Amino acid sequence: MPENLQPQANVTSTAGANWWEGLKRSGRELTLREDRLFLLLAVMIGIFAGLSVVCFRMAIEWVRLWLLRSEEAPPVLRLLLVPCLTGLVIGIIVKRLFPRVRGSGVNQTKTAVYISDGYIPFNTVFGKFFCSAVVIGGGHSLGPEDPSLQIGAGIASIIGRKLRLSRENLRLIAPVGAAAGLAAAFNAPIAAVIFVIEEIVGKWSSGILGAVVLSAVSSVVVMRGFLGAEPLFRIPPFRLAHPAELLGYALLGVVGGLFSLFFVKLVANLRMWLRKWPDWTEYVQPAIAGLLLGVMGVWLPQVLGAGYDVMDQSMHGRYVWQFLAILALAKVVATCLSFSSGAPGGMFAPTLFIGAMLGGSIGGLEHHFFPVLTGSVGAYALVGMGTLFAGFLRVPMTSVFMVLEVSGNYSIILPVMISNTIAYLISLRYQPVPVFDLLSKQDGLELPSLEEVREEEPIRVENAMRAMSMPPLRAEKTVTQTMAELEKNQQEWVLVHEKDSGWHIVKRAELLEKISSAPGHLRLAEVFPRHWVPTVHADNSLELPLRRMGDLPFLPVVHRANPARLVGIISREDILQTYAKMGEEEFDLPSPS
Amino acid sequence: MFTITGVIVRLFHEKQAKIARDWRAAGEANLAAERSVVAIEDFRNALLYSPDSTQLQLELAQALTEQGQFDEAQDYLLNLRTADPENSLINLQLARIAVRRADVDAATTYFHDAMYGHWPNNPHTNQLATRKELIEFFLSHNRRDAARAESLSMAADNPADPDVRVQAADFLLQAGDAQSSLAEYQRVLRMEPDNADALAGSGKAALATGRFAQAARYFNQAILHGSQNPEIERDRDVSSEAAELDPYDVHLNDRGRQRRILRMFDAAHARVKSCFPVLLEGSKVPVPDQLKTLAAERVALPKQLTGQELALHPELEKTALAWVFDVERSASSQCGTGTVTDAAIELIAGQHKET
Repeated sequence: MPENLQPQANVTSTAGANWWEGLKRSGRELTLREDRLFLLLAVMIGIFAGLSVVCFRMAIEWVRLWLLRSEEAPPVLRLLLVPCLTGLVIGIIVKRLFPRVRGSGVNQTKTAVYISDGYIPFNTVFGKFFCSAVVIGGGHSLGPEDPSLQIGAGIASIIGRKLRLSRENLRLIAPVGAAAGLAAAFNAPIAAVIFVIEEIVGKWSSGILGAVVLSAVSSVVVMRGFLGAEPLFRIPPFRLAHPAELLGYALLGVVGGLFSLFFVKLVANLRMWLRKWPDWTEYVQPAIAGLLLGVMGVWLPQVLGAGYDVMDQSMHGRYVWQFLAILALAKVVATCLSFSSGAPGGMFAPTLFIGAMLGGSIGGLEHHFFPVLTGSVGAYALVGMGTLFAGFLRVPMTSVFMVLEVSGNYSIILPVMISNTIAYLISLRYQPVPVFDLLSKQDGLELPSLEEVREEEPIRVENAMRAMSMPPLRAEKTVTQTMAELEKNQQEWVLVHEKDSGWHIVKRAELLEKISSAPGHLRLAEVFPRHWVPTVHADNSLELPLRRMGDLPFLPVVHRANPARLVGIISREDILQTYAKMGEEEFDLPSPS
Repeated sequence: MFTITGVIVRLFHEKQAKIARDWRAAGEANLAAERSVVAIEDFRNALLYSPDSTQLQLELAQALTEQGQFDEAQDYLLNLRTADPENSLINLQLARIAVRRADVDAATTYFHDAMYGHWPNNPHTNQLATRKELIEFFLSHNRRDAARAESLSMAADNPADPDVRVQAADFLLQAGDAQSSLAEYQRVLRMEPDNADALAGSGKAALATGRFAQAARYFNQAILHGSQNPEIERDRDVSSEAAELDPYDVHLNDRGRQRRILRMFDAAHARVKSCFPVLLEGSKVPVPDQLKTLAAERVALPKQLTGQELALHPELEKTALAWVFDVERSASSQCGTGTVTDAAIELIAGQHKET
């Protein structure tokens, strides 16, 4: 915590007076500790992010009302003109004024955290707010969640800079704002916290977790204060009548996984293809995407905008399964067009939309052929949202909690877990690089892949340890017995185990010198020089012995159930050799020899 | 910033409310004009701006039900029901969907939940109307016991309302419980002796129980007390005739019974003459298949049935009555309603099917 955040005690002691002593004591109690102040800052960020997200949502709605009118299916002329013209205007604005607001917002936030030390300029926040509101309100197939996340992170960054936070804390504060923005956009604080941990921060540390949770909660409280506590969707009743019905959801997981792959490939390839166009076309790419989108909208107005209303209606049997399947496909195309063109807006809502349509169509299809299945189309649509979330965005934990929070129905957890896991595993198997990492690589950025970190097989002590040629000495044995054992072995260092104090490492020569003059009946414990050594276990990460070793020649590796049992030793050379071998295997490096 | 956000949100909510109101008004107008397809679109547009409005969702569900889109309508309603399970309007709409789907069990459950749930206004009137709808549903699905039970409850719940009790008695009669129906009409008549509907109903219930003379008296009184229904007059004539013709009247001696059987026999002959002349042409013309039984029954009877023959051969009474009843039933189904006497004989036949 930076110095300037520490409140100064402003009470001066005056000896003698009891009341003054009491006041001093109260003053001390009131004095905020550094970590508490950080939490207070998180609450403040949450409040501002919540307010901003409320305004952002209002802005989208106003723009939509103004440009596309209040009908569910806007007039044809508007459909053809509005997405195209908003695309043109925003294309120019983004290119000329706010180049950092292109795209989703998640990668920009990660870029800010890992490359710009948490710095997000004010004009990026404003640009994201304005451009995303116009683009989404104008009918482009993008969502408001990822921009909200970036707006939240930007607000946190601005507040952090105003308070002159250190570089380390600025880096830390941006994810706090991101969680607040996402929580308010989704009305789902748990999912937002897990997403930020899963996708942006990458680790569960108590320092960041408390702040992220507080900011998410406070932003949701603010948002609900203005917009109400209603969930995003009216959730249909759900019950699982028979465990065999889980097979239906497993099928949804398989289809969802394959669909996620299709979605990722299409967005990545289209984006790369458009990048090859001349630079000046970036001005008109959103307009071209908008025109194509408007043409689609004449027949399928449901694919325009974020599409929450359509998702809600799909859960309540408005559409037949064939139409839901068409909508899922059309939304993939529409979202790829909008997103790849560089229009600022998010992928979360379209992913949910595609998942809901896909789930609904699979549910409807299953009902058609197996009418005994009790799961409603709405339940399948809800599970489908999580499935696409897990398969496309590759955030398995967030996907489960998001569905639970959005539905408020914990009985749906089994289908959600099964379907999400299958989709995630299929996506992981056939698309090694997650979509956000793929996009950042396309942008020429090497952001840390948190999935890689999650999936990485740790190198453990057992991969590097070796057996000790000489068995360890026991302190309860006699000097005579010890001498006999020492004569059998000529190792430079010996390990001695004493019941109470644990493991010790002694030079053979030093030990011989100590015990050679001692009577033979004495126990070794009474004479040997104690040099205590820390131990490690075979399943520990290989980093741990490096940290613990210091100047010691090696460390004992002991059994977890019986710490007196030596399972091997590990030295610095063993560790380095193992790392070198791993490098050879991973990058096909030439052998040092 | 709180204030600015508050103002923006408030302005937007006001705008939303206005848009929702406008679309809703358009939807209601279209629904009233039976343009339910347009009404559905209007309500959908309204719901975009007032997604939590129960009334809007109910109206949309109603329009969807009228358009036969039961799945979506039911989903909306079930969702509303989850939030407010005792809302009678929601349960009533669900019951109506179940009725359209002929799902008797679901309809019964939802009708009951509607009746005993919470009505936003006029709970008693709405509950009564729902119960009537339920009874009519039971009657249309031949659930007579259930209809009878509901009708008895309807009467019991409205002890001081003669109109409701008359309706309950009507339902009891339709459910086949003429005794309870008659008892209910008589309770109404104790409250209002001049109630023409109760008098006419009593007549019908008495007819259904085979009390022809009593029925005739009730019909007579109903006419005297202002019943203008021509059907009542005919019922009165038929029941009077049935009272005079009924050969099963326990107060009759043998001669009296034989006289009545002969009258009925003559009436049946007249009916045959007008409706099945082929039966009277002897063996010259082939008899159609559907009349062969009647022809065979007639052959078993003497050509000219007289009182003397009936006195000599009492077993002929039964054979003659069987033929008379079969003639009237067949003629009624093939040639339509006959004279008052024919209708009276058919009534007697209905009362003495086993005999």
